Amino acid sequence: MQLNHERKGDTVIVTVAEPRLDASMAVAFKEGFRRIVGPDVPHAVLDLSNVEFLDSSGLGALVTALKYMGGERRLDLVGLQPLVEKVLALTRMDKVFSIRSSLDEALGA
Amino acid sequence: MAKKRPADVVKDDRAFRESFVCELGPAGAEIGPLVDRICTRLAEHGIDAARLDDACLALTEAINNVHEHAYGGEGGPVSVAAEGRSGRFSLTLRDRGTGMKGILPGERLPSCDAGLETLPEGGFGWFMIRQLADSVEYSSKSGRNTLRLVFANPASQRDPP
Repeated sequence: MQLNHERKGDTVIVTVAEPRLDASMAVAFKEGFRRIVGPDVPHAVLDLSNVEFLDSSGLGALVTALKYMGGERRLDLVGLQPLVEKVLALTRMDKVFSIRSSLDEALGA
Repeated sequence: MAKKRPADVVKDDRAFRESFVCELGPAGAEIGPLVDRICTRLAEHGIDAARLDDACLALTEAINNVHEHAYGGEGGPVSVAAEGRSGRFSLTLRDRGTGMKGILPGERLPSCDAGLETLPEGGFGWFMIRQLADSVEYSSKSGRNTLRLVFANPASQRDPP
């Protein structure tokens, strides 16, 4: 599982460099996200523009990342491909996550 | 049915029936490639993109369930029979793991209303299968489990009940 990251001010941008976020990737994603973002970063942006396929295990891993950030810190999702959007809408998790239309919007908001 | 040359099956609306078999290992790394292989063939049989996404997702969830629950993460054989035509097709998944009893899970979404700490991190799979397929039938008899998912085309949403 490859996660790339970049820091911009108070924000850490984490990019999933994989075409799938599925059951075989979920554990590695949770660990990687935690390790990269750490406990003190107030704002993380998760760039999913490479992710063509998300299953319920991948969705569970995104929820774990959101919980890790907790109520005080912010997590934005950007770059959602159609199937990823569909999974979030189907499970009504589109109401739970902060979904931004672009990286600029996530950084400016 | 006569075997078709690859060029003949592209956007073909004639009936198809194909079987795929796979031995799942403990890590389940075979699931993604297996579903990709099946969905590539479905596309060649003329299934439209929206229904193809539904079928790929539902099948992934179903095989994940077999891997995690029926085989308890230890691996085992699965087979998938794909049949129908571009207008209506079914996927029948068979395994030899521990079967389920009673009504199928996933009638409702896990609750997301009680705040961040209690958000569910799992339990979406069966709900998704039920939403994505137009009909879902399951049976478990004599150590063989069968899940049949039917998809109607081209509607990408489930028909109202």
